[in-house]
Amino acid sequence: MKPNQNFQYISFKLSQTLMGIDILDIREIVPCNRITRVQLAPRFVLGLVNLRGQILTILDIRVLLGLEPPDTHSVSHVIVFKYANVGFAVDGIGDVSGIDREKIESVPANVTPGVQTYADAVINLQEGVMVILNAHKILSCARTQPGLQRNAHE
Amino acid sequence: MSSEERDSLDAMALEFIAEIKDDLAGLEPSLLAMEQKGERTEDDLINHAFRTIHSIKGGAGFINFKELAGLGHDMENVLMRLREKTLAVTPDVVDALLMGFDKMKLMVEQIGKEGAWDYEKEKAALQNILNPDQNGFEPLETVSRIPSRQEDSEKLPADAYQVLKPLGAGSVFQGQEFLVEKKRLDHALAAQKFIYAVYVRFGTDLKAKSKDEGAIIDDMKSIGDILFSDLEESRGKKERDGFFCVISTILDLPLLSQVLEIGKTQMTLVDRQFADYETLMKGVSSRAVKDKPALKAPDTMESSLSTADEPPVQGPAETLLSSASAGQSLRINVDLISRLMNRAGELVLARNQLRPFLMSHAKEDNLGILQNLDMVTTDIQEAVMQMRMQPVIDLMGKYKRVVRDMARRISKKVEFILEGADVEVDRTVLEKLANPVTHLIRNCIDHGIEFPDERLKRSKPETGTIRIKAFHQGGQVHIRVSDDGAGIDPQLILSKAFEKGLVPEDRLDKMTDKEKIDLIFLPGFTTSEEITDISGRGVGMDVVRTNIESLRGHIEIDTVKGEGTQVHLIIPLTLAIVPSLIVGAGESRFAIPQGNIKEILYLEKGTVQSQVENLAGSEVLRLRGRIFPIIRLRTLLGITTYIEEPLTGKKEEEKRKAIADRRQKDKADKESKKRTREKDRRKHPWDSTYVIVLKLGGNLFGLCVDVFYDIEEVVVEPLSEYINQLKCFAGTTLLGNGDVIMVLDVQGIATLSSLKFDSIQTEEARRNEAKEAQAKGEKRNLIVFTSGKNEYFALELKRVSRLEPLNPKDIHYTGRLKHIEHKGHAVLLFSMDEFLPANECDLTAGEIFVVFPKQISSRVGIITSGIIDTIETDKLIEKDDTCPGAVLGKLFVDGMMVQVLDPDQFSNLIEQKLRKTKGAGLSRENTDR
Repeated sequence: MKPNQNFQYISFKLSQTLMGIDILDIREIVPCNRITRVQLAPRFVLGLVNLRGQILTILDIRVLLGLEPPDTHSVSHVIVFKYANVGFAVDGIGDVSGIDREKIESVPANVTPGVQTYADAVINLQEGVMVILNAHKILSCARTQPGLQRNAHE
Repeated sequence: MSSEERDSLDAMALEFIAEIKDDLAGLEPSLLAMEQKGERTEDDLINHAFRTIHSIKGGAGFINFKELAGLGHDMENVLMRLREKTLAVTPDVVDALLMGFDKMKLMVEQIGKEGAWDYEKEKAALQNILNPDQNGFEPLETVSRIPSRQEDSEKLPADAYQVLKPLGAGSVFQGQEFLVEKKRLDHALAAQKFIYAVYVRFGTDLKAKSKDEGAIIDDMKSIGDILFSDLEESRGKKERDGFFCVISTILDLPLLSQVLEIGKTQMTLVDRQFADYETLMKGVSSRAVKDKPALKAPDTMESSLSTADEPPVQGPAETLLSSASAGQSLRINVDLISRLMNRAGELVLARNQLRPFLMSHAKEDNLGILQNLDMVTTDIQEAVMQMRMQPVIDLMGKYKRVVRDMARRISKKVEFILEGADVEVDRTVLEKLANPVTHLIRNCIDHGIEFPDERLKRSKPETGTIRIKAFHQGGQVHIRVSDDGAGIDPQLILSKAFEKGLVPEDRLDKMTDKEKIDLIFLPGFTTSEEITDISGRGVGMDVVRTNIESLRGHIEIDTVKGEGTQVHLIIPLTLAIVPSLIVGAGESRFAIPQGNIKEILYLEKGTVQSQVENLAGSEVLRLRGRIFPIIRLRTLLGITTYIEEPLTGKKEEEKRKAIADRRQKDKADKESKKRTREKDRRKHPWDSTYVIVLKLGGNLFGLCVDVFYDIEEVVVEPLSEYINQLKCFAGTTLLGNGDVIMVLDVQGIATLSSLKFDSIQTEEARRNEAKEAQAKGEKRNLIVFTSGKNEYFALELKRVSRLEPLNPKDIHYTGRLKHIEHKGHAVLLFSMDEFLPANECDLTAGEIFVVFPKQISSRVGIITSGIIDTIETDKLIEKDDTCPGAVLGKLFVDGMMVQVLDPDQFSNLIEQKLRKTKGAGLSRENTDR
C-alpha cells in the first residue's frame, strides 16, 4: 500500500452535518458524560471533562464552523486530539474508514466562513458530502477567534 | 577554544563548568563586600576571594579553557597582593576585579563560543593595578633543572610556596609535606597538568632496574616538570630508602606508573583539590556541591558577609565528597523534580478518591490506615513542593551589584539592605519576579534617591537606603521595595500624564491622590526628561504590573513626598495543592483557596435588607464596624438560578439582580399587591445567603454563594489556553467524585467586579463625618403641621418656601383635584393622605395653611389642617425602616408623635404625582389613597 494513497478518517455527525477527521490526529474517542461548563468562557468552549484524572478542554465545533447549535445538548461522544488535552463534542459517532487520497476534493467556495477556515477537504460519499476537518486549525482556534461572545449559560 | 576541544566537552566537563559557576556566584558578593569595607576588609574575606579564583582557575585548567584560566591567573595576582597587604583595597582595585569577574562570567555563559576569547582589556586593567612593582610572569614551560630550595637565588617570600599534603594512597606518603613554588604549581595547573607525588625507591625502582637517579629524573622530565625533589637530601641518609618528587604531567596515573616503571602505590595525586584520582573520576557525577557559603545569614543581611558557614578550604585533606558545613546539598535536574511534583499531585488526587471508600468501610483498623496514608501523602506533597522553593535571597543577592553599579554611574550614594533572606518561593515565580524587582530598584535609584548634596540639604543622610523586605503573610509572599528618597509627587505625575495625553482634561480635578499615583502604571508613562539606559523609556511600571499580575499577584504603592516610597508586591505562593473551600452557586460548584478566606457569614432571610447597603455604587456589608463590598457569585458569572416556588413547586428563573433586591412576583403573595413598592421588606424563602469574606491584601470583600461544603485539598490545574484569559478563575480541579470544578481567583474576582475599595472607604468616611457633624448638635428647624385629625407631620423649614393661609371656600375642585388661586396663578394642592397612610385632611379645622415646598414648581402646595409650631431640634433623625418611604423618622414632641418627612423622597413623590396628573385625563385619575 503506497503511503499516500490511503487516508483514514473517523466519521461523525455534528448538527446534522456529516463530518470526518484524520485518525492520525486523534488520541481517542470517549462517550461523553458530564461536561462542566466554564462560565464566561468563549462560546466555542463547551466545557471541561475529566478523562481518567486529566482535565480536558472540550470545544464546540459548531460554533467554530458557524453551524446552528441544536436545541438540546445532544452530545454523544467526545473526540480527543493527540497533541493536547483538548477534544470536541459530537452528536453521533461513525466508523473509521479509508479512502484513496485522490478522491478527496477541496472545499467548495460556497460554504460558511467557519467551514472554510477549519475544514481541509470534502469527500463525496454515498450518504452525502462529508466535510473533513483540520485538527491543527481547530486546536489553534483560541488565537484566531477573538471576541466571541461569552457563554452565559450555566 | 577550537572546535575539537569543544567537542571533547563531555559530562565531566559539564560538572566542572557547574562548579565554576557556583564559584562565580560566591565571588561577586565577596568582591562587593570588599569594596564596601575598604581598608577594614578582613583577611578571611580576601582569602575567600583568592581561593575561589584559584578554584575557578583549576577548573578552567581541567576543561582546557585557557583564556579563563589566564584571566583567573591575573585576578589571582591582584588578590595575592591584597593578601600580602602590598596593595590596598580601593574601589579602583575592586573595579578591575569586578571587570575581570564579569568577563569570566561571560566566558562561562558562552562557553561554546567559537574562536578565542579576548580579555586584553581586563588583563590590562588588572596589570595596571599591580603596575609599579608588578611581577611580569611568563608562562613557564618545562623546567630543565631540578629546583631545590638551596639553589634558588631569588628569595621568594614564604607565601610563594604552597604546601602539598598528599593523601596517602600508600603509607609511604603518610605525614609527608612538600613545598613547591606556587608560581610553577599554578602554571602547571593552568596548563592542565596533573600533580603527583612520587616516591622513588633506590632499591626496587632504580638499582633493580639498572637505572640511576639521573635516569629516572630524565624520565620524569621527559613527561613533565619536576616541581620538587628531595633527592639531594635523601642521598646521604641511610634511613631513607628513596626520595620524593612532585611532578606535573599530563599523564594519568596508570600511564605515569608505566612510563616511570614505578608502582602505583608509590605515586599519588597531590593537587590540593583532588586528593585521590580514582575517587575523582568516580565521584564526578555525584559531586557534593559546596554550600553557598556565607549567604545564610540570620534575618537581616547587610552587605557584609559572615564567613562563619564557609566550608574551610584549607589543605588537600578535604576531598570532593566531604562537605564541612552543615546541610549537604545535591544537584538535581529540574525536569526530575517537575515529574516528581506531578506524581505527588496525582497521589493526592488518588488519595482523595480512595478516601470515601475507606471511610465507608471504616472499622477501627481501617481508620488507622487512612490516617497513615493521609499523613504520608501530605508529607510527600509538602516535601516535593519544598524542592522547588528557592530562597528569595538568590534573586536579591544579585541586586547588590546592580545597585552599586547604577549608583556609581550616576554619582549617587546608595546602600542596599535585604531583609527576610530566608523567605522561599517557587522557582518559576522567582524567575518572573526578577525583572519587576530590577525595574523597581532602578526606579528607586533613578527617581527616588536624591543626589548626595540634595539629601544633605533635606537633612537626610548622604547615603540613601534601598531596602528590600520579603516575608510570608496570609499564604502569600510579600516583597517590599522601599527607599528613603524623594517620594512620588501626585501632582507631578498628574501633570506629566496629562502632557502625554494619558488623562482627559475633565478628569483632572476629580482624581484622588491615590488615583494620580496609579497613573504611573499607564503604558507610556515616564517622568524622565531624558531616556537613559536605566529608565525613561516609559515602558516600566505597566510591564511591572503586568508581570506581577501574571503571577496572580498585585502591586501597591505607598509614598510620602519628600520622605520615600514603598512598593509592595504581593504574590500567591504557587503551590499546586491548595486547601480550598468548596462552595455552590446555582447548580455549579467552585473552589476558593483557603488562604484567602477570612470568615463565612450567614445572612438570614429578612436581615439581608438591613445589613446590605449601597455605597459608592457597590453593595456593601457592615461587619463589626468594618465595611466592605459584596458580590454575588451568580451575578458575576452569569449563572441563572432557578427558584422553586414554595407553593406550586414550579421552578422559575430568578430575576433578582441585587442581593437586596426584592422584586416581587405577582403570583407569590396576594397581600403584597397592596405594597407594590420597591422598599418592601417582606421576607422570602430565597433570601438567605452565605457570604464568604475574602481578603485581598489589606482589603476585604464578600462573595455571596448559595451553599458551602467541605474544605478539600485540591490540585489546581492551570487553565488551558482557551480559557486562561478569564481572570476570575485560577485554575481547574477534580473533586473526589470526579467532577471538574473551577477554582476561583480572588484577585481576579475583585478586578472583574471593579471593586473600588478606596472609594468605598472614602465614601464611608465621608458619611461618618456627616453623621458626626449632625450628631454634634446641628440644630434644625422643623415646622410641624397637621393634616388629618391628630396626625402630625414635620418638614425642615429650609425646605419650605412659603406658608399661606387658606380659606377652604377658595378651593376649586375639578374632579378630585384641588386648586386655589394664588397671585394670579392656579396652584395645585395635595394633601398628606395622598402620599402616606394618613387620615384625610381635615378641611374643617380652623386655620388651614398651604405649605409651599421648595424645589418643586411654585404651582404646587400642600394642604395642612393647621400649623402647630416650629421646633428646633438637634436630634439626629435616623432612617426608620418601619416608616413609609417619604417619612424620615418619628419624633416625639410634647407627647405628640411627629412624622418627619424626608424632603427628597417627598419631592420625588410629588413629582411623580405631577406627572400622573399631567398625563391623565381630568377626572378619571385614580390616585391611591
